[in-house]
Amino acid sequence: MNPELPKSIRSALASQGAAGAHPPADLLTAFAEHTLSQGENERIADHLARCEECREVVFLGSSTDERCVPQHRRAAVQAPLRSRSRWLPRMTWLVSGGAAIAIVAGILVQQYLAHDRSNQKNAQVAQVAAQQPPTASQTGTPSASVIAPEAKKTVPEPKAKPSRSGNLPRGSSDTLAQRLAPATEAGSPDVANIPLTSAASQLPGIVAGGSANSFEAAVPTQNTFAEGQEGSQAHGFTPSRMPAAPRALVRQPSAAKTWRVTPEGHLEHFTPTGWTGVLTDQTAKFRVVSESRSGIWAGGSRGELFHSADGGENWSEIALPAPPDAKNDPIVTIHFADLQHGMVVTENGLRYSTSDGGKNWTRE
Amino acid sequence: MASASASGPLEEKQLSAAVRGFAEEHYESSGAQQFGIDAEALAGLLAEVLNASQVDWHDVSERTFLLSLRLEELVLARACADGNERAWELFLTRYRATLYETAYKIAREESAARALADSLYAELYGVDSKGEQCLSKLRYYHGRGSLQGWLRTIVAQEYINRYRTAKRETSLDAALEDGAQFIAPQPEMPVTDKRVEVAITAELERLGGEERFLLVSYYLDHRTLAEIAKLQGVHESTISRKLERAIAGLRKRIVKRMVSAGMSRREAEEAMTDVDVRDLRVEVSETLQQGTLAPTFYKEKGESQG
Repeated sequence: MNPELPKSIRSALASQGAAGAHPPADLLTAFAEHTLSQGENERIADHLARCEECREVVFLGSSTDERCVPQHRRAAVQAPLRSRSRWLPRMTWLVSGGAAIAIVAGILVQQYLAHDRSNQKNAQVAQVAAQQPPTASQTGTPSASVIAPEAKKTVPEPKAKPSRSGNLPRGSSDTLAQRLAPATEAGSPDVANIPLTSAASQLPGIVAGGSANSFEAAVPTQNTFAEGQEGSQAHGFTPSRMPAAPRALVRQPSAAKTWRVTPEGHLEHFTPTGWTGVLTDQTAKFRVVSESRSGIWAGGSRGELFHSADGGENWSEIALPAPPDAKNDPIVTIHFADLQHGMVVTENGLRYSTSDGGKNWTRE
Repeated sequence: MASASASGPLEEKQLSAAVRGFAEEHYESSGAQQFGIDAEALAGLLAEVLNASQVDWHDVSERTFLLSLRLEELVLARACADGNERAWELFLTRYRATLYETAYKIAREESAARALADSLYAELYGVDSKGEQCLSKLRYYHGRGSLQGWLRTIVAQEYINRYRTAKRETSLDAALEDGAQFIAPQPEMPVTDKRVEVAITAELERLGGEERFLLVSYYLDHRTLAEIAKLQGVHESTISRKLERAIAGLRKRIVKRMVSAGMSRREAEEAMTDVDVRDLRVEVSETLQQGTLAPTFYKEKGESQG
């Protein structure tokens, strides 16, 4: 029960001074919607207190507003919003921090697992390599096969095994090897398809490739490089003197999953039924296959270049403007930066480029 | 057309860089482009609103004021006022129902509501009661509140105007037929002491607008707490507390002023109580009624013991 207002005050209220000019409907609306500034609100309230007509208008207008929610209800609605908005910055930081920790933990676990896998593979490869020692003539990739034994000879074993916690500096050879290991495994079901080309190391986006004997040379080289670079740093070798082959192992897993070149030089495509041979009617021995937005590109050991723009259904052979003495130069790298611009590199270092999606090629 | 007329009346006005900047900044979100209003015209419109407002610029900054405007609705209203057909289509889609529903809720009778809404619609379109072209009523919308709320307000204004006009035109005979009772207003208690009158008037003048509005609405207009609360957007209990506080404070200040004017504290307190015998009688009867309804403690105790 509200206290009664003394009649003397009531009569004084009723006989207040003139209200002045009526405020525009715009301001009355804003008053009812509480969007006025403090000063304006006070002024309009004062006018309303003195002007019966405007009070009528305001109350009548307000009575028809069904959306008008009393503040206690609005407060109930806004309370969670307010509390959420108050907690939101903190929650954002917490979530961000949690996400960062999760990412770091994930990377560490991945590196830990990768390191384990690479160790296992290295052990297997070392076993195979011991049975079939690689030679330069067998590998067909002199840059890798020649360097690999040298690296093995010249670079001593690291004094201490790298820690499994992955606390090695970024860019160190061991970290690189750890990163490469899962990619190698995920990239192809067959370890023999690990590409290894020195020229390919210069370009990103290499898909797959290798010669029939590259397997024997490639994996030991990778292993040797991984350990050797660390060793080389320890012995004052500059990394630039080390072979760049492992960088070529960075490849597109999606393409590597669907296309490969077998150790025998056959081009294969992965289908639901398994790996199936492609371009089997060709006598060419394939060295490299690349999948990009421009299509599938396959390079042969005698400089043949095949292209399929429909995912491998139809193929066409592209003639490269090779000089007469380099007609049989094996293609070791095919790289397309985008739909139009691509580059082919041969084993002898010849480079061909295209800027029209592979229709025309020019030698650089 | 829209842009020309929107900027026309404002050509002589100086547009500040801040207004221009604000107009450019909010040009896209305002939707002015779809009505053919360019950024310059929008800046002109904003300057017009700024000039028309009676804001104390010490109270609020120009940018804050501009940010508080319902820019999109303001642009739509202005485009409608300028006769933009696309704007009218949008306006009718969004607000036609509001206009007619509000009219119906206020008039509570379909034909009266339709007549009210139709006449307003014509005024919004820029046609007066004689069917002649006039300035669209939408030109007076400055985006301080929502366009929907503004429409409700103008419907209410129009209804009250019509009601008053009709009431003035009602003959005495018709009023008598309707059963109107011409009762003389109840005389208020005369304030005998001049000091009391001076103190009350002075303290009422010092009263803030909001408190005064509350007191008037509740005690003079006999609005319910719910009505006031709805308008103020607060709970009824808040209004009740505010009223209580306002009256207590007002009493205290008036008494203090009367005491300082030379009255004794007892005299001042008595002046603040309505020493009306009828009021006393009511209070006594209420007290007696309460006593009979609620059993006394000893009676309850005696019954339980017995």
